[in-house]
Amino acid sequence: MTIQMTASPGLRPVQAAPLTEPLIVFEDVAKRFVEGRTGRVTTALEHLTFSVREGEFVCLLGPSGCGKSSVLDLLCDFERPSEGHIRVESAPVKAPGPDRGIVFQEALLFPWLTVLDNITFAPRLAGVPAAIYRPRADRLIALMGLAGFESHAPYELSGGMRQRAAIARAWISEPRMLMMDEPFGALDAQTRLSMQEQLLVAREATSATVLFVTHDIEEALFLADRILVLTRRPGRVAREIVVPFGRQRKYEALLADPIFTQIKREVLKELRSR
Amino acid sequence: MTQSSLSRRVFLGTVSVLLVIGIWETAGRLSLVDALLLPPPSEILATTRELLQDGYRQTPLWAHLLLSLARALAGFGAAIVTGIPLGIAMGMSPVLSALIDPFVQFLRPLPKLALIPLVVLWFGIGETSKVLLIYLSTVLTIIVGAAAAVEQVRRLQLRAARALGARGFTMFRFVILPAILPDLFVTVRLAFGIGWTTLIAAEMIASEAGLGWMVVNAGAYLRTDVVMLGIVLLGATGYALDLALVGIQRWVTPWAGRG
Amino acid sequence: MTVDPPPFSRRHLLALGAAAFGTAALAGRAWAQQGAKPDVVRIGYLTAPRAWVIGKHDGAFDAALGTRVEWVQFPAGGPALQLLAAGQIDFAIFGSTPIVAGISRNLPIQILGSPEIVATSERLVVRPEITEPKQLEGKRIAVAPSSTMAFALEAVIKVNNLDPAKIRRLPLNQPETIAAWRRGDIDGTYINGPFWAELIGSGARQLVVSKDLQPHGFFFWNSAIVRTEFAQRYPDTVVTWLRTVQAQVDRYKADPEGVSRILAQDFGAPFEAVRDTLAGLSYPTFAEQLGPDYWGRGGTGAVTPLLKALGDTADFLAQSGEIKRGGVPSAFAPHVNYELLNRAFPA
Repeated sequence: MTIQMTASPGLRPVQAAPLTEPLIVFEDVAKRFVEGRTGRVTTALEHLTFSVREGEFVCLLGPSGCGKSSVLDLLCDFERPSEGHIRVESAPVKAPGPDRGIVFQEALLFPWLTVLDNITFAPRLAGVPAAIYRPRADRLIALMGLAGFESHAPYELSGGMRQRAAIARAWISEPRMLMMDEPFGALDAQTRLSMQEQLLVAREATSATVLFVTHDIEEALFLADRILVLTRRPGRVAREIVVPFGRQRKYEALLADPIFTQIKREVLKELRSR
Repeated sequence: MTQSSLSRRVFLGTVSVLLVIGIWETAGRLSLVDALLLPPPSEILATTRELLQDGYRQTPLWAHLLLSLARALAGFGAAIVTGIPLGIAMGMSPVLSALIDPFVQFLRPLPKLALIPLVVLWFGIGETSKVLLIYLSTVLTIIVGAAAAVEQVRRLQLRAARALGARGFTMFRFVILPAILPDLFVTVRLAFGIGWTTLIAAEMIASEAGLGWMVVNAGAYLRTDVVMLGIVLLGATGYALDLALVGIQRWVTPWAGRG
Repeated sequence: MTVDPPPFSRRHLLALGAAAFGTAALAGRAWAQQGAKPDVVRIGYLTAPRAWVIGKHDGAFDAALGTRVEWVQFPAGGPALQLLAAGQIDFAIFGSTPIVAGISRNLPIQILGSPEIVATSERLVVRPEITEPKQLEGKRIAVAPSSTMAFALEAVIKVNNLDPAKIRRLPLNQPETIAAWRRGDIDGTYINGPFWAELIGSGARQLVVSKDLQPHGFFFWNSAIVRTEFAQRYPDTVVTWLRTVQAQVDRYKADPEGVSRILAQDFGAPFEAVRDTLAGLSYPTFAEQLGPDYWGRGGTGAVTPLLKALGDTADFLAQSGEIKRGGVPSAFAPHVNYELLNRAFPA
């Protein structure tokens, strides 16, 4: 074996990530799609730059069709960026795993498994002993208001319960990062509110980083530490809002807060002007 | 379906069948219809009694039925065992699909009757040829159905599974396989229907027994009563087996077709 | 704007009833119309070449009958029965075995003589090591189901006192028989031309020809058949048709090669095969057929050879379970239309 004199990538000294490096970094990212049939090129994202720090709850807010979901697809390595760089934990993106959960607009539960088996899918697949995942599952089931439905089939649940089960399923592996793509979009107003409250409680208990995609201003204001308002297609960050409400939020209190109303008005104006 | 609407369905179905039998018998009694062209139910019943006693062409009626069942199930079973893995493999691998698809699509619409001389030439006139013909008529449908089932698994569902750590074999075993089960059942039911109808063609190869052979042979001697009996037996058996498949389907994939 | 009627309207039911009534009325209407001529005469014929079908080639039947003639092909006697039962053909010429099956099922048909007698056109060919009938025991013999050959094979067994239980008869159609022979799945077959020629060409030995069985009282032939209702309504047409058939056979007898050549072209078959197939049948004239060696002229109650052969065929079919014994008529003479035969060919 010869000793390599020149620095090869494998021998390069490992660079410790600077303490200031955020968990997620998007640098001048563009995403273009070529339509299969017409060959037309659609630009979903362009010059998109933002970052999310560890422990932050960030909402991506924008009108439908602004490429919000593309951001998550890129972040999960379902799609590759056309331009720019994306780093997660100071490394190139890789496929999501139990440590990086994702919740979609639909619950996407496995219809052939019970609620409990759905929730414990990832730890069982990873060979985690039941002694470890079972108490976690029970806690999440209680937290998500699914107690008593453990052995039900997904099709026996309401839409809201299914979505809560999906959140529990993503959360059971205690991910450092949770990506949510309009997870409450298909629910009725009341269910949505209670889901939002439960999400905040759950998040407070685990201090995970959350990247939450939504088109609902009030939802973003209620949940987020920071809101990134995206422009219409091609999407990029039009405005950044640091939400000044602290962590203990009550929806009724927010509604009465003049700052809430003011920010909402400004964002609405921002969205409409484009 | 609720219990009451199910029993209502069964009731209406029974009434309708009885009504048709009644009209059919009356038409026969009043000689509105020539008994040679359409033997009335009473004559078919008499023939049934006669065949139950003496058999048809030296073979008991139950033996005809059993033999046909054995042939159909052997061909059909072999088609499931080989067709489903191949179809799934084609659904998972575009390359394999591209390699095999031309043959499948060429053979599938071919009338299996046309294959009889070749099958006899290659495999002789024994049971192999009869089973093979049923196998050929069902396996292609199963391959196509299984491949389509895999292709129809939602991309989003697979992404969700990937995010939960499913990869390669675990993705196949714990996500794709259960996800395609309902579609596989539909395919298998469809294929069984085709296989059962191929029985007649299969039993034209040097048969001396079997329901399909009985129908064809009796037809050549204008024994329309035996033909009708054979058709009733073929239909009833096919129906019963389909019901059994539906039962298994409900048991294995209770989630099929529900939100 | 049009309005679709409901799927099960009263109109539909009425139409259905009218149709059923019409069918019944038609079945009951069977009277002779003196000099009446049908608009169309539908003649059924075998897919294999036959001498009398030469009349199809040049419109001889159209000219003689003075009406439009439609020709309907059938592959075997069984389908011919089905066509007759459905009223799709008026005349046909096919084998005695299916004819007996039809009559025993009360199919309203009448026999009009036997213009074709199987002589050498159907043969039992076997593996070369089989040199005498006794050696057939323990062997597998293929034969087309519900054919005169199937009956002839039974006759071979009976005439030679063979044990029927020791001979496996495999029901196989001719193309499959050739394939099975090639594979060595069968030891022999009772088969018609041109198939036996192919087998003999590939080393098979000819053991029996159907003509050999005649001295033992076994006759195999093709009869002319008419639908009873047609014969009752259009007797004159039947008489003309019979004479026209005879005229075609006469043409063949005068020039077998020429007729064979035309038929070979029409059927898309090799000339030699057609010539040999046609030569394998004997063609007694209708006048000869009405003699005591075949059918007789009827009315005497005598059981002539072919009437007896019909009874034997019925016995065989009933014994093997193909037809109901209860359906076999006590005498076959009433199913032969002697009246029109005598009119067409007076003594």
